[in-house]
Amino acid sequence: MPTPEQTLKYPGATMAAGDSFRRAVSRDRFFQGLLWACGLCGFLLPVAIIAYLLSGGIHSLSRTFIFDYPRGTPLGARGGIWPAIQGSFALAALGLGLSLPLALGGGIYLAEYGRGRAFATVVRFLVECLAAVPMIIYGLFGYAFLVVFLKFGVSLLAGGIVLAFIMFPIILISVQESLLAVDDAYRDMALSLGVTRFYLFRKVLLPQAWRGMVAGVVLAVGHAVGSAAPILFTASIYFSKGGLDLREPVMTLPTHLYNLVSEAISFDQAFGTALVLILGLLLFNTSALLLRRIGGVNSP
Amino acid sequence: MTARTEAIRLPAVPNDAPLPRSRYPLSFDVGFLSVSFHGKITLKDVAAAIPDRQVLAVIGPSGAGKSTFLRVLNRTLEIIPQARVVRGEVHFKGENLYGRGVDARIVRKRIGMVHQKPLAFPLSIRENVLFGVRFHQHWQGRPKDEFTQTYLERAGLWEEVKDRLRQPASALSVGQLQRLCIARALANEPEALLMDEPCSALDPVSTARIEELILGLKEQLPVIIVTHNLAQARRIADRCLFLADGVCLEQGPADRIFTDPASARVRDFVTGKIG
Repeated sequence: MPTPEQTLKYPGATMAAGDSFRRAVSRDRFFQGLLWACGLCGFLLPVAIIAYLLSGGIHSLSRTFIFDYPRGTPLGARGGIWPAIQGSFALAALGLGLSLPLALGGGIYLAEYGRGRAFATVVRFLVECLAAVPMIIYGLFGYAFLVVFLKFGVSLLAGGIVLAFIMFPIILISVQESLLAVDDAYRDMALSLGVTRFYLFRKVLLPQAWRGMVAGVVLAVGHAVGSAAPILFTASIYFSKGGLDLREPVMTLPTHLYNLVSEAISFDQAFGTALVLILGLLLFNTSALLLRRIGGVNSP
Repeated sequence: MTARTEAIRLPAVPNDAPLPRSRYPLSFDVGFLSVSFHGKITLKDVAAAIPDRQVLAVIGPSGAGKSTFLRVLNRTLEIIPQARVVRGEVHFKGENLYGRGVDARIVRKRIGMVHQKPLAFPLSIRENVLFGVRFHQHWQGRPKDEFTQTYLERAGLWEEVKDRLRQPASALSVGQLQRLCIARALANEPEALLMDEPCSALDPVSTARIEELILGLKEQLPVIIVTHNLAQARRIADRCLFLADGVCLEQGPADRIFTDPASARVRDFVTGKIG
C-alpha cells in the first residue's frame, strides 16, 4: 500500500490529458462537427426550397390568383387557382375523414388489444407494405377498381378514397407507435385496479399518446395532398370553375402544377401554385404544432 | 365452493404451519399452485393458507417467484403475456378466484395491489385517487371530495397535499407517490392488499411511514407483502412464506421462521449467510 505522499508523487497521477486521451477528444469534436453539419441540412433544405419558391412565386400571388379560376390562352396562363385550392382541400378532408377513424381503431387494436397475437403481427407487416407502395400504383388501383369497376367515375369521391388508402397506413403506424411508447407500467398499474382496457386507454394512454398521433396525421396529410400521381387518373380534371360535387372531378394543386409545367403554359403561374401548396401545408403543420403545444390539460 | 378453514391440504415441503388459532378466518387459501412463464415452470406446487387481518411477508432470494406468487393472488398475472397458471387453485374467502364466471377485473378490484415502482397517472392528485372509483362506481352517495380526503388520510398523505389536489400528481416525491399509490389502491375499497416490494425505491423515513401504514391496515384486511428487506419482514410480518426457485421451502409464524427455521437453506438466508 503506498502512503498518501507516494500516491501524490506517482508520475502518472496528473489531471493533464495524455496524447491518446487528447486524440480521443479531438475525434469526438470532429464527430460532433460532422453531426452538426448533417443537422444543418435538415434546416437548410426546407428553408432553401421555401425561399426559392418565394422568390419565384411571390409576385404571382394576388387576390385574383387565389380566388379566380384559370383563364387565358392557353388555359391557365392567366387567372387564378381557386378551384384547385378547393379541390385539394376537399380531397384531403375526405381522405382524412375516411382514413382517420379506421387507422385510429386499427392502431389502438394493434397496440392494446392484439399485442403478441399472430393476427396483429401479420396486420402490422401488411400495413407497412401498404405504406411502401408507390403513389402511382395507388393511382392505378384507384382507377381500375374505383373509377372503372365500381363505376365511381373520375370524381372527388374516388380521389378521396385513394387518398384515404395512402393516409391509412401512415396514421395507423403512428397511432400504434405512439401508444407503444407509453411505459407499460401504466398499463400494469391501471389494469391491476380492475379497470377495462378502454378505460385505461381513455384516461391514461390517450393523454400521453395523442401528440404522436397528431404528428402522424400531419405527415399523412402532407404526403397525400402533395401527390399528383394517385389523383391524376382518379379525381383530377384540367379545368373547372369551382364548386364541389362528390360525383364530379375536381382540379387539384399538384395536378394543376403538373399541367402548367409539362405543357409549358406559364412558369410564373406554376411557381405561384407551388408556393400556395407549400404555404397551405406549412399552415397545416403549424396549426398542428400549436395544437400539440396548447393541448393536454392533464399532461405532466 | 366451500369455505375451507382448518382443513387445508398439506404442502409437499417441510412446514409446520398449524394455522394460528386466529380470531379471524382464512383470507387466501392457495392449493398446489404451479405457474409457467414462456412454458417454463416458475412456481411449483405452492400451497399456503393466509389468515385474515395479518401481515404475511413473502421472502426469499431474487428470482424465486415471489412477485409471481403475489400476482396470482389477484389475477394480475394474466396481464403479463406468456404467463399462466398451469395447476392449482386460489380461494379467497371461500371463493375460487379462477372459477367459472369469475371476472378477473372484479378480482383485481376486491384484492388491491401496490407495485414496486410508484407511478402516478398523468392526472391530478385527486383524479389519481378517484381512478378506480370512477370506473367501479362504488361511491354509495359519498361526494367526490370527501371520498378523496378519506383515502388520502388513510394513506397518510392528506396533510401534505390538501392544498394542491388539482395539481398534477407527477410533482410529488417518490415517497409521497408511493403513498398516493396506496391511497389509489385503498380507494377501490379492497378486501385484501398485495404489496410488491413497496419500499425498495424509498428512503428510510418514507419506508418507516409505509410500514406504520401497513400495521394500521392489517386491522382491517390481510396484507401480503413481498420484500427483500429481512429487517422489514421482522418488523411488520405476523407470518412468513419463504420461496426459493419457485418452491415454498417454509412458512409459518414470523418469529419462528426468523429464530428457528426448519430448513437449512432458510436458516442460511435469514441469518445472512447467503443473500
